[in-house]
Amino acid sequence: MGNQINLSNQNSPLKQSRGIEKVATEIDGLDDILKGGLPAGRTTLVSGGPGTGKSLLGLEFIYRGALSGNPGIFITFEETKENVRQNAFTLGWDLDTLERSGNFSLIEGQVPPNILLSGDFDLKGLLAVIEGKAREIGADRIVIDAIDILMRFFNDPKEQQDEMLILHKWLTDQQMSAILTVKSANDKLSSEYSYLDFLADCVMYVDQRIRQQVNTKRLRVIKYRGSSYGANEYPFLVSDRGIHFSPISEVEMTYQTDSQRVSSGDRLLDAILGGGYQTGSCILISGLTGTGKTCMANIFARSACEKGQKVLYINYEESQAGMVAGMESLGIDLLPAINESALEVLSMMPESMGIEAHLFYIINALRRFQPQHLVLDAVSACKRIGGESAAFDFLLRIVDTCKKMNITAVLINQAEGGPAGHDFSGIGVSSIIDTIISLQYRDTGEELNRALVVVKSRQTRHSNKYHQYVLSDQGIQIDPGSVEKH
Amino acid sequence: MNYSSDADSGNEEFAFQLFVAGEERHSDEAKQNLIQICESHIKGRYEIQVVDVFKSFDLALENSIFLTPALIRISPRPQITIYGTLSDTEKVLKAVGIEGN
Repeated sequence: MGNQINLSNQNSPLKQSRGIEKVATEIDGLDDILKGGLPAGRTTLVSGGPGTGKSLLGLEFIYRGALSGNPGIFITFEETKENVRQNAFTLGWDLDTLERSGNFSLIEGQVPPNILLSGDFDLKGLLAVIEGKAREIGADRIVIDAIDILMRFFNDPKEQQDEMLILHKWLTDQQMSAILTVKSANDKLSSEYSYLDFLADCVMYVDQRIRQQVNTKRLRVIKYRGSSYGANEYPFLVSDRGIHFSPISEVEMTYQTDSQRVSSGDRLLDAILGGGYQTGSCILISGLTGTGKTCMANIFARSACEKGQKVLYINYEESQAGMVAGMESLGIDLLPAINESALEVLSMMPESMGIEAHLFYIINALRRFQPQHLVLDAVSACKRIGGESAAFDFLLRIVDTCKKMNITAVLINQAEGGPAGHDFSGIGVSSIIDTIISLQYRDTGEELNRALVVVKSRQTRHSNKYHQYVLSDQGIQIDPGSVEKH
Repeated sequence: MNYSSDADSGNEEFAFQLFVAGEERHSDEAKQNLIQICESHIKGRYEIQVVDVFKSFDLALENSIFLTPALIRISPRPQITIYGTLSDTEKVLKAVGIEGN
């Protein structure tokens, strides 16, 4: 079987790391964990329980490779070709076109459960098929999903091992970068398949856990011969485009200036607050529609960005364009900050994904962008993600992450009315909030004015007076007469 | 001779495809066993096409042959597949629908 498959495909992103060549998976975040990718020309084992994403991981490896011009084969013993195509389709992956381009081959390894047997047999049929296909399309990548289904045909454990050795030897001779998936209940391969561990140069384990209504999938590299690797458990998410791993960041703490305070963007508001916002604290701006909450948050964002700081703005209420236009009419120009990448707006619909996905995107964005401040617009919209209790968990996680990273979190809340006008939409988050600013309407019978009051601000001497303000095309203008000089 | 409704009626033609993996031990055994069975039971009315999976991987793929050796009874219908060296004659006869003597 002398095949001359050329490994040095000019499109192949091989990386050197401690002497071994690697093949990038191009799966978001995974290559960082693997310090470059999978071992080139060697076998990787992905083990895990059902529904943990092993098949998808393998498929995405082949899919992304094919997209970059590296032909690959995906053999499924788990599903039908049609199912694989359908599942891929929901991720926006067009496998049909890829197949026609000759960079991808999907093989259905159908062997019925009750096969008729008489005498000895072996896996050479499989080898012939993959060898033929690999030669036909010039493939140097292959995924076999799942190897344990194949192994089941051999009752005798020694036979199983022999066959696997033959398969492994063939894969190595052909210099195929291979992923074999295997079902496993925990991160120790059952004794049945422990020999697979010896064959593979890289072994990864995936599992999924449900904790506090949040379903998390995690990956852990158990071994990687000849290479260093990220040794933690890495949460990942299957989005509507594929698998995403949380980016690794060595530095969890963002670089904060020495001062403990940051300006709210308005001198008078700073005085009312007793010196501005405390960096790394959690501030709630609450009020009815039209009271100017978003305006206040953006005055802060713009001011911080002007000082060279970064702000991540999570917008559940409107698009970036809508927000920019709205603020422009109030005299607040966000474009310079946006254009300098100091202000990043993540605009999302709460209903678009589940809690864990929202958390994932936001926490990922915090780690990647490393802003000094976060604005969440609005807390009240979070209930639309998955109900009140889930919304509370969600907020808790976000605020917790911000505190750990010393990021100032400004939460905007659409109040639902009530005597003091600062009820917090029924979500009991007040315990984790350090500062509450309530924006209210004051109906004098003749005029409808606006007034703000600092309901609380931990560890600060703040004003407890109502301060009238006006919203106009000059932004928020607080009545200076009401403000005592601190 | 007794004939069950399923079995060979004495006139039927049998067509087989035997998938083997090159020239090696299992392949030889399967070929030998198959020829022996056919000569002994359905002499003169069988046809065997030997397919080397390494030479015709397309055919193997079409028929989902991943384990070898593999015998497909093409006719009479329906198609039946048996895997292995065909060492158990009785089993093969039964599976393939040839009445034993």
